[in-house]
Formats: sequence, structure tokens, C-alpha cells
Amino acid sequence: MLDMRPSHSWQRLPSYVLAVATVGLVTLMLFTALADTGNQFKLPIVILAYLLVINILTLLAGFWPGIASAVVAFLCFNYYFIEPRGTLLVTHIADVIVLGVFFMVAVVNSRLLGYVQRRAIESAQRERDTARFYELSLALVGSQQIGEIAELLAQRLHVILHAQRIELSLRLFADETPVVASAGKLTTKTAGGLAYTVPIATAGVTLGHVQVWRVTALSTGEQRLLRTLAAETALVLDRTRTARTETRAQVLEESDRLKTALLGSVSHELRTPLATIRAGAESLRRGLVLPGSREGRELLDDVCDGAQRLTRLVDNMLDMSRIESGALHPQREWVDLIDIIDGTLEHLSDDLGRHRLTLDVPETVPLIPADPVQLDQVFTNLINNSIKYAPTGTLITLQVVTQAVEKLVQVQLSNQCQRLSADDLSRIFDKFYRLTHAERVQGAGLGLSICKGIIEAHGGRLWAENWSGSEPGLRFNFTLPLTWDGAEPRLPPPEAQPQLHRQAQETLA
Amino acid sequence: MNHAPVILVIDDEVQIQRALYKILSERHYRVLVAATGEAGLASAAAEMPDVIILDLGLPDMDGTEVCEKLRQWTHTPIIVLSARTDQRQKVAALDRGADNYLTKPFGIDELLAHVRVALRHAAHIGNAPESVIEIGTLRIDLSWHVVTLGGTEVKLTATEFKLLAYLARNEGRVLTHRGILNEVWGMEYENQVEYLRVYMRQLRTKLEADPHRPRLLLTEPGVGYRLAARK
Repeated sequence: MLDMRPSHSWQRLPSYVLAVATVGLVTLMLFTALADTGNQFKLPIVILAYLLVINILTLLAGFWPGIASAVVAFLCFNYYFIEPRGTLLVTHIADVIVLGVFFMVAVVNSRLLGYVQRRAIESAQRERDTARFYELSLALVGSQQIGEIAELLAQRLHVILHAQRIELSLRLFADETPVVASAGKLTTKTAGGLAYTVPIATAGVTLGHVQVWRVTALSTGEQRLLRTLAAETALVLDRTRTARTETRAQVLEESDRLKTALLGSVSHELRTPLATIRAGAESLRRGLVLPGSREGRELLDDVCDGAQRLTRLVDNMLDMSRIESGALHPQREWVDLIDIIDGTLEHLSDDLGRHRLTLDVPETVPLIPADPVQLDQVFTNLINNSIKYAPTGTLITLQVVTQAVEKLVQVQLSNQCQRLSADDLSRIFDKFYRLTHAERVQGAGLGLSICKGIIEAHGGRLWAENWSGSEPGLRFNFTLPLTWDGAEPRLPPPEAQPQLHRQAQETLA
Repeated sequence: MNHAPVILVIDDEVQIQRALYKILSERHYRVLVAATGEAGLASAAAEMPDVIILDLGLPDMDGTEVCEKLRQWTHTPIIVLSARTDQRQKVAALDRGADNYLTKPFGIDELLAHVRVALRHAAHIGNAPESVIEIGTLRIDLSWHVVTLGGTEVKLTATEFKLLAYLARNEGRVLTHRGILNEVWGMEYENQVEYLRVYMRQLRTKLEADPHRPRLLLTEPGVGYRLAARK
């Protein structure tokens, strides 16, 4: 880009010195070499030699040094080779013509060559700029984040335009605070430099602007490229804007759908136990049923069950909202997975009565970093789900496998419930999603999505699959990391097993 | 005990106050109620209750603070009431001297069992520590360092014994991980929950009839461990 700027004459001083010195040298060589040659041969040789030198100088040093060399050559030619020599006088009319034509040819040649060369430089420059702008626009198209786009533009423009400073301000929506990015510094010396402001706008909406400070003016080509780039940025922003608007609409639609599902599901789930509790309490209060009678005891059991069910529902809803607001932080500690499973099975023992349970949990399962309360909840919800959906008397299998290489522990819970469609399998963890063929089963459809939230908060994965084996059915799988931020548990050093007191006494005796 | 045991309930929720009053006074306990931490502390000093039931969510001060203030002058057993999700607060209260906790909503049986254990503790406060503790068929002789199960001696390593002895001396109380690690391994190990996991498993293998269905060494998930109370 430097070559395109009109340079100051002093910067080119070496070129002029070179031009004058070369012409002087050539004059000296011609003068000595052609001392004995006749005039009719001497003049054409001298003219051709001078023209050759002027052309070469124009190519090497540029247009103006070329012209300078032409002037010097003209003077030397006149002084040394045109009669009367040693003066700048010209006596013959033919010599005047020769000198005139020589000078004109020299100047025209210089101009032509200079022009061609400048064109060559310009086109090479343009090609380089185009390549850089092309790269930049490719990068822009790949960007999604507005901050990323602004940063990228500022940095690249700073380099491409050799600018002192670039400032950018972009935004997607009128109500948003613009994202600002800049590159380069304005030193006090260059603070007075030229500033260009190009708006970034699409279809009448201004999405921002770019400002360029540079010591020298931007060429028309550079200004054109800058405007093209601004238009392209506007298009990219517009596309991002459209995508964002669609997402906003989708989120609204989704939350609307969820609200409806929530109301439908929760009102049913709340009403049933509330009705039971109310009916039970009222009939006892009015003395319709005596508390001590068999009927009364049954009624009280129903009341207690209803309260239990409400408790579970409220807990689940609180958990769900905690998961959704990102407030479910597992309180991790090194836990014994076997201990947790034992605990879950213990408090589910009453509900497990109608199914056969097989455990395949090796005693060697390592300690894992997890929140024991949340993990218990995962096991409880998954097992409860199997109890609810798998037919009475069928097999529920809980298997734990350590994957030492991947540093994972994988838990598989298989049951013999009906195979699920691909759609059900993918949506089974959505909240309030309930299997269509399971109308009679109670529940708000929160248990599995809570499990998913918990497992993912632990850095694990939870999925369901149909499995076909000796007892085909549905299988839940989840993985949990064996390491805690890359660290393994620090186990206590081994300790010597002591002798029994009694044995020790016997030995002594 | 000649007089009816006195139980102080510190809770600001009227429904809980009423329920606890009803349940406990039916079992012939004398029940005192305080609705704030300040009132609770004053009542504890004036009435010298045998057991304190303390809600952690009080309007005027943090329940853990109440625990701390009580422990400055009294060993009266404290049962803490907490919401399901206040795991940290629960642990903090236990670390500051609470004996046990109940998660709301709780069942009556659970509440009464906790109160009975607390009363037994209250009765032992000030007495010389027992040297032999028997729970079911398990017999722990603290002075002779001998543990027998159904009459047969069980060999325990030094650390296993230290751990069991600490749990036994606090039989029925929930002990936090930090508290146990501090006591058995020392201050610098108080975050080494791994040690505790390994040793509890070893102890269960040696002492429980079915290590997968522990009846003596009970896990309090996310909080600590507890040695089952004698019946």
C-alpha cells in the first residue's frame, strides 16, 4: 500500500542521485569509447544508448527519476556530442530536430513505462487486498457471536488498511447496548489523521458503524472495499438477527407449551391426593367413621399416603425449578456407590415387593465424586419408574460396570417393560412427558427429567434404550466420572491386622 | 427421672409448634415453645429443658448460631429441624454441637425415636462415661479395647477400633464426616472423606450380619454416620 501513496521528493533522493550518476557514467563511457568514430555513426549509437539507459532507470527507479535522467541525458547529449561541443549551443537545424525528437522519445518512453509499472504494482496490490477481504468475509460468514464479529473486523481492518486505529460498534436489535471493538492506538502525532465513518446498515436499519483513522487518505479502491465489507457485515448481522428472533419465538412457544403441560399434569397430580386427604379428614372429623375402626385406619392410611404423594410432588417440582435455573449444584464428596445403592434399596424395599430384583454390583467399585443425596434420588426415581411401568413379577436388574480406561462408572438399570418407540425414547426425559400407553400410572412426568438434570450436573450422561436379551425390555444407562477434576480418591495407607486378645493370651500362656 | 421430661421447641411456624406440642404432650412430656432464637435462648437458660428441638430457619437469627450459643454453657441434646435441601446448614449445625436432625416433613415415629435417644443422652450428661457399650449382640469394651459380636471376639485394627469407639460413645447421635475425621485421624485429615468410606466398609464387613443392609453403622447421606441407638 505504501507504493500507492504520493511520496515526498526527499524520500526518493537516492533514486535521483542514481539516475543522474548513471547518465553521467554512460556519457563518460560513450565519450571515451566513441572518440574516434565518425559523427554519422556516433549519434545513432549515443541516442540508442541513452534511450536504453533512460528506460532501464524508469523501470528501476520509477517515473520521475526516469524523467530526470532524460533531462540530464538531453543536456549531456547536447554538450558532449552535438556540434559545437562543449557548449549547449545548437547551430544545425538537423541537430535541433535530433535533440528535440530524442527528448520527446525519452519522455514518452518514461511516461509509458512508468504507467505500466504503476499499473502492475496497483493490480498486485488489489489482488492482495481482495484476497484479504475475501478471507475476512469468509471468516465473517462463519461467525455467530456479535462480539466475535466485531473483534475480528477491527483486528483485520487494522492490518489490511494500515490504519492508525479502527473503531467498531455493532448491535443486533435497537434495544440492545452496542458491542464495541477497536484496534490500534491514536498517538498524539497522528490524532489529527483522517477519519472515515462507514455505516453498517441493512434494509434501512442501522446496525452500527465502522470508523477508520489513517494518516493518508483512503484510495477509492480501499473505500469501495470498506463499503463492501460493511454491507457484508450487515448481512451477517441480519442473518444472526433472524436466527435469534426465531429462537426467541421458539423459546416463548416452548415455555407456553410447558406451562400448559404443567397445569394439566400438576393439577391432576395435586387434586387426587388432596381429594383423598380432604375426604378422609372430613369424614373423621364429622364422626362418620371412627378413628379406631378398621375403616378409620384405612382412611388414615389413605390420608398419610396422599400427604406422602404431595410431598414427593412438591419436592420434584422444587428440584425441577432448581435444575432449570441452574441452581442445582451437586455437593460432591467421595462416596461409596454400593452404600448409596444399599440405602436406596432399603427405603424402596416396600415398593419393590412385587418385582424380582437382581443386583450385579462388584464389591471393587471405586469411590466416586458425587452428591449422595442427589444420587439416591436418581436411583430412587429410576427404580420407581421401573416399578411403575414394568408388569408385576418381572425382573429388574441393576448392574454397575467400571470402565477404567474412560475413567467412568456405568450404571445399567434394566426392566421388562414394553418396548418404546424411537420418539418415546428420545422424549422420555422431557419434563411432563408421559408415555401415551400409561394413562393409569400416576406421576407428574418429572422424575426422569430430574435424573437427567442431576446426572448431567455431575458431568455424566443418561440415556434409555430398548434391549433384547433373555428378558427384553427397557434399559436406563448412566455414566459418572471416576475422577474429581482429574484427581482420584486418596485412600488410607494399609494397616496391620492385629492379633485377637484371646489368642494373644493363649500364646503367652 | 422423677419429673416429666421438659422439651423446648424453638420454631416460628405456628402449625409446627401446634403439631409438636400435641404429639409430645400426649406422650407426657412437658413442652415449652419459643418462636425466635432470642426467646429460645432465654427459655433454655431459665427452664433448663432436657431436650431442645430447634428449627434452623428462624426469623431473628441463624439456627446454627443458636446451637453455638447454647453449646457455650449447656450439653442439653439438640435436635435440629431442617428443610430437605439445607444439607450444608444441617452439617453446620451438627458441627456446632447439635446431636441429630429431622428433615421436614417428618413422621411422628421418627420424631419420637429421636426424642427418646436425646433423653437418654440427657440422662447421662455429667455421669462418668460408660466403659462398656452394648447394642444388640455387639459389645464394645472401651477400656479393654475388646469388641465382641455374639460373644465372639472381632479383631479390629487400631483405627477401626478408634472409629467404632467414637461412634459408640456418641451412640444414636449423627456425627459429621468432619467431626469423625477430626477425632479419629486428626485435624489435617478432616476433609479426607475417602478414609472414612474405606474404614466404614471394613467395619461393616466385620460387624454387620449383612454389610449391605447395615443395622448398626448407619449412613446419613451427605452428612455423616451414626451408630444405631440401643432399643
